[in-house]
Amino acid sequence: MKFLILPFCFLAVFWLALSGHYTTLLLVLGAVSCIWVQRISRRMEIVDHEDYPIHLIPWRIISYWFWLIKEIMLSTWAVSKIILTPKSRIKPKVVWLPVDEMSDLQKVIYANSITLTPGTLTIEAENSRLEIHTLRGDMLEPLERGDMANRVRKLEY
Amino acid sequence: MMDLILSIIRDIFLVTGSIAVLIGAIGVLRLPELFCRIHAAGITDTAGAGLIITGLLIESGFSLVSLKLLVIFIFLFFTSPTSSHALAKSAIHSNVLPVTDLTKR
Repeated sequence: MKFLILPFCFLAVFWLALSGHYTTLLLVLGAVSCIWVQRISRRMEIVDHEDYPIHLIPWRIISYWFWLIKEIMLSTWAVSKIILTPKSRIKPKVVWLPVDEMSDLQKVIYANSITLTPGTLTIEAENSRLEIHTLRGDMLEPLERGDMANRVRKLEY
Repeated sequence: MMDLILSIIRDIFLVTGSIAVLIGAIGVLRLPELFCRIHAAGITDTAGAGLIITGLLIESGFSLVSLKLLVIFIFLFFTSPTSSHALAKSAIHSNVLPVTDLTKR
């Protein structure tokens, strides 16, 4: 039932926010297209908890985003120094990181966060581990300490 | 007075964002191989775009435009790692493997 109402509400808010015109004709057109898109996506069976992750804890997600932005800024600074230093020492390294006890959604969040921070990149994702490429060995330290993994594990109820 | 402070903060964000994009571009040119270059391109994607959009958010104030900018910001945070990952994966599928010992080249 919640996956019947939720997509419609989401689409309606999105339409209202992006259009900015609130005449009767446009509102009716918007409502019709929201219902239509919702029906199609239900028939395609693509509406489930992975597309609407309502089981994630909202305030944890938001604080996680702010923490991630801080991490991105720090590693951007480190990678910028590598790029701008003449003859800087680059020692690329490929390692496997374990992702035990994580749901599929958490694995995706974790892998995407790793790719978002400059200096580390997820190449391959398997069931229980991720293949990480890094620009220099010491950039892996925060990941190996498991700070990010612990935060991702706490995101779900 | 408030306007002046806001415009200075906005300019700081816009200029640092542009510098981040520039650093990313330099990195793409000067780092040795594909997988290292993806890291440099990542700076343009995340820090560059993020800082510039934050600057524009301050510029636009509280309106529908800033809501759209916020939506772009969120979408970028989902699409940019996906594209980096797709790039790395397709490189491996066409047998371009990451070089871990650069002294051998």
